[in-house]
Amino acid sequence: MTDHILVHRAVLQAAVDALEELNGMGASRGLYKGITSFADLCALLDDPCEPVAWMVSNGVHPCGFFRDKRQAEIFAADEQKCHALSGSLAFYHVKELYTTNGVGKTSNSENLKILKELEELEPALEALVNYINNFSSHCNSDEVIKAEAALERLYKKRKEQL
Amino acid sequence: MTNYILVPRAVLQDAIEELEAWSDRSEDKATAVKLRALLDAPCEPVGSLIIDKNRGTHVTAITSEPFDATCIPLYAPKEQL
Repeated sequence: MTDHILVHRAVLQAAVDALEELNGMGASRGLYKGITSFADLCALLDDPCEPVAWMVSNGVHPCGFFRDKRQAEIFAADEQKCHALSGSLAFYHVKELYTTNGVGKTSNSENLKILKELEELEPALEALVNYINNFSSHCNSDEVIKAEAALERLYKKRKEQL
Repeated sequence: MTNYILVPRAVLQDAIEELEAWSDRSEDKATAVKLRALLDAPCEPVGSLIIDKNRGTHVTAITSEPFDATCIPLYAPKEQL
């Protein structure tokens, strides 16, 4: 039995509106006290979970999972094209996947930020290594080795974070 | 804006019971019926997110394997299945 239920926004909004109205009517009649989790429902409507992944299915059979919607769409289109050529009745399509709020929500933007940092760091690292290789005889070798190691550590750390 | 919202079972159960018990309006009853149907036959997880807990909520993988306590279940909207 699942702990969470995926509900369409419109249906949940209708329930919240109805409960809100009940609350107003009940308050005047001294009957309805409202549910304790009403605030939780409103909070969910205000800050809903976004899709965190996309699944490509052929009919009802899952074929692949993707973090990126565009990649999922490309995969589905490619698979559909291959099967359509052979005359099969395949139906590849993309479905958004949800998980509990907060999980994986910011990972994509964080990853993009790290990726951008890495892209900026890469040419600098390459230039420094080239410089060291060409002019190491003129430098203090211990300091150069330390600097090179520090940059490489930073680069690896960022890469591992992806 | 997303079209689907993942609601904790207990919260939804409360809302349905209140609607069923207190509202006389047919549209509210219809909403309760729709929600009750979801509660009685919810969509099962179709996959899992594997999270590296050392990195907060960093997602390391997505898998179709059955999830366990270390994974986060992923749900697909039922209407699309």
